[in-house]
Amino acid sequence: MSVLRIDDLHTYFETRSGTVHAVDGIDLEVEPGEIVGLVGESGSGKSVTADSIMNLVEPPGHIPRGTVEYDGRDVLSLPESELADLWGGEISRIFQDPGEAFNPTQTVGRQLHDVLRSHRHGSVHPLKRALGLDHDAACREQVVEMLDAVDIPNPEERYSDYPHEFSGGMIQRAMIAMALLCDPALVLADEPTTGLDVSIERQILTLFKDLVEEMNTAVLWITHDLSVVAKLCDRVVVMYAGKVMEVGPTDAVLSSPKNPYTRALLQSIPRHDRPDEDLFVMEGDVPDPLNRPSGCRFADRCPEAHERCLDAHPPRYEAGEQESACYLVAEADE
Amino acid sequence: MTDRSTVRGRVSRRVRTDPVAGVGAFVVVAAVLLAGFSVVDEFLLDEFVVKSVLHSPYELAPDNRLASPSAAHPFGTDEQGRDILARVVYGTRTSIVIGTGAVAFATVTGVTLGVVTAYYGGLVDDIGMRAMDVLLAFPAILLAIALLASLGRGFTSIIVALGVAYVPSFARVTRSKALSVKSEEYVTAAELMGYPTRNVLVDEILPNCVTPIVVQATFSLAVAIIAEAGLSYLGLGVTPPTPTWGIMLSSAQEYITSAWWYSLFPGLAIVVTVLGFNLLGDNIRDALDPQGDGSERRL
Amino acid sequence: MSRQLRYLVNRILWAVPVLVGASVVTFGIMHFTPGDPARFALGQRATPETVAALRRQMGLNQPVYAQYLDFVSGAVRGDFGQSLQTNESVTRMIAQRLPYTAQLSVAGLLIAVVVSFPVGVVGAVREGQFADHVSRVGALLGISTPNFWLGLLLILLVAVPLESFPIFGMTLVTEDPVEAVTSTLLPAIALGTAQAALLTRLLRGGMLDELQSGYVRTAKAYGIDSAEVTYVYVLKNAVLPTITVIGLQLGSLLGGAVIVEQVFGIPGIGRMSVSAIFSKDFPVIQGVTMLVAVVFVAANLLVDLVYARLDPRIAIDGGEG
Repeated sequence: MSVLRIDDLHTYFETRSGTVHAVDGIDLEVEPGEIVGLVGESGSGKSVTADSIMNLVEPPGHIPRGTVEYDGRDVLSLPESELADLWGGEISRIFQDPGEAFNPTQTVGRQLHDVLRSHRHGSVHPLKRALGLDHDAACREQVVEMLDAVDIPNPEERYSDYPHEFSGGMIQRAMIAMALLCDPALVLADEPTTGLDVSIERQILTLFKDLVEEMNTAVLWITHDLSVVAKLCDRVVVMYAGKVMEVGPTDAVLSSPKNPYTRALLQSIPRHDRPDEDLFVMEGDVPDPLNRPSGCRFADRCPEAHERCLDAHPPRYEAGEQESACYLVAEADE
Repeated sequence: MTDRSTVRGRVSRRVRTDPVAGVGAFVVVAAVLLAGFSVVDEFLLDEFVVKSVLHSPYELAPDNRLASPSAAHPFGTDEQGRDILARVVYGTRTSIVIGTGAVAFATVTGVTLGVVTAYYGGLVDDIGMRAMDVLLAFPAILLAIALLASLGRGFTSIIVALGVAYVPSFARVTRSKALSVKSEEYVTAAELMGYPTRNVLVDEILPNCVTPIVVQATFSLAVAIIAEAGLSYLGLGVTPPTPTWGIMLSSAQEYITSAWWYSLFPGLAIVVTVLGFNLLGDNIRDALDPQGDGSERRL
Repeated sequence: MSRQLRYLVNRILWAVPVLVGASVVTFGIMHFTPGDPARFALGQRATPETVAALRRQMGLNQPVYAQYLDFVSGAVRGDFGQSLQTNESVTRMIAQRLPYTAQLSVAGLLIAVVVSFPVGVVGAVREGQFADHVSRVGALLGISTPNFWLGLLLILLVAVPLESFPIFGMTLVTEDPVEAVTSTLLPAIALGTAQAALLTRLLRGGMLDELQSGYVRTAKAYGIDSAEVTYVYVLKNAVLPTITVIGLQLGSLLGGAVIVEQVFGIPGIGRMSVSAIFSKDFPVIQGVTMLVAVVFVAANLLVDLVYARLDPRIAIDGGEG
């Protein structure tokens, strides 16, 4: 059974100016132990998807349609108490800015300890926590082990350090440690290496891949950076304007994309080996999330668009190992 | 480029739709109008209006001392038989004039200081801010009292004494905003184009600092009105027979058990007026800082 | 130099010029007043000889900078001269009255803190609900009510009917603790309410801001109980900046004490300064003003110290610097 199954998910936000269709009907599957990349530009709905998977969407956002199944269970109908067990315990989230994810006035070790303790022993009264009476030596040990596993040197001492004492790369490792601490079945990683030095990024990616393979953790890696996807992911899902455009094994999608949007994305990557080439820029703009077009979302920017594309957004058609939401694929078969 | 127009739009929209904001605006406008009216009425109309509707605030009536509230005297009379309601209405003048004067003084001085220290930075900034810290080391009332010892009594003295005490707040607020504005592109552009410094300060930086200054001014007005009342209460306010709320309360204390209305109504006037300014200030401040999708948070 | 030490030195370097500046201002008040201070003290009918004698005694014939140096050297020793009215040592006058003002101010501050913390926190936690509306309206009224009128109301509505609260004077806690409480309670309420209101607003706003932070979201996404997050993580972070404000508010507390002492007839420094103003008794005014400035600076230094210990961003010597 898949670890994660998303079916026709729609997530809308009600604002004063109208309804934002952040996620507009997507289907997605992640198998146990698989690393799936979720690729898209900003505004494509990637982060909202992650929030929706965890049922973390807050008003004015809501999920009018669709299902999210984790391990066969319907996440969207779970009560808050069961969700709290799930969060951090079985489904972990790595947030975009790790510096912001930690409380500046608590030690990093303590915060990781609190996560582990919450999942092992449940919550404690704030007073008890304030006095430090909830501290558990076994949890502490495990946290130190985890800090070591993410290659943080001197984990014993670092346990008692504050977030501002960690460099960018280190705090990201700490974030990964927090995510993997309770041995979750699924990790939702939201642009975790954006903003890091390329060399540090590479280190962290290698580390991360080793760890999740060792722990057999499924990963949904959200990014706009195709090169990371190439290094890390088994499969890739390409999103645009709230919809899935293409899905398939990473090699296949990147070497022979079956969707005009994917092709355009690949073309936009600056090439080091062809430095004199003009940068490819997609014409037009991402469609207004308040007013999505009724046809294919990419139609107005697609060089291969034709009349049929304006009727309705295309369903996914199979094309070899991939699936592509494009009428051209359907027509190629016809 | 400036955020003024939209903020003004937001403020007026909230005043129209949100009853709380509307009340604040109404009270402020009413207070200002009453103050203006009392000036006109006393100096131009020889108290014509107030005499016909109520009574003269200055008219002594020894037979009617400390009368409890009635139809003829809705707020009762004081120890000299004067109508308290009329005096409360006239008292608005002192509070508004002194409050506005002090805040105007503090605004002009403080904003200039703030913009200059923010723009030039370095030693100018250090000295300027230290000077502000020195002023802040004294409680406003004590500073005002000390200055009044020096300057003597009267409208201008009080305005200056209170104004000086409020300069640091304006300087800080302005400096803070000016610092962030200074790093904006259009300021650099103006400098590169060779605009004289004074123009850069006045035309580019200053207009974009307006909104936090307005918020500060509204709150300072509220504080100034209370401060003026306090000074009057202590006997350091403007000289009689000008009615002020503070002086009325000071006289009222002697008769606190026998004439509760005397202690109540002038104080109530202060609370209502100050509340109006605070509501307005809250309102403007919230219009300044909406949270993303419009769910504005109030303090 | 460690971060903490650096911070402390920085704060001390702040304090010194402020004190110097305060001394200049205090000195200036008397010396830049139009008119002759000696003549003010003695009144219109004094003979030129007596005025001249007093001028000599007060050192008014010396050049300004010499007078300033006299003033400062005296101030540093705690000597502010004699009252022009009673010839008593200003320092002794202040020392006599200081305990009353101190007791009143401390009580007022206590009330402000004890009331504002629960109300502010509850308001933030139950944002938008009834408890929040009550706390916000209360806070708004609190900052709009003059403390002396509140004192009058308390006298009218509480002291007079109940008869167990004295409405004039105050007993020190060292003389009779019970009497001290009854005689200090009403004035302290009158004094502390405005502070309480201000602190409530600040704390509520601070907590609401913190509740939007990234770490709150992360903690929730990791299943940590919201009560734990709110009352341990968020509260601590919201309280820290409030502590610095309390230090700054000390100024308005002392200023408020001046007026409240008048309402309740408390023989403190406030009342003394007010009568000193009327009689243009400059040595007294100077003594009080300087004292207040010193207390303010000292209190803020203390607050900064406490803050530095509590906020790990300053307290811990960062490895990365």
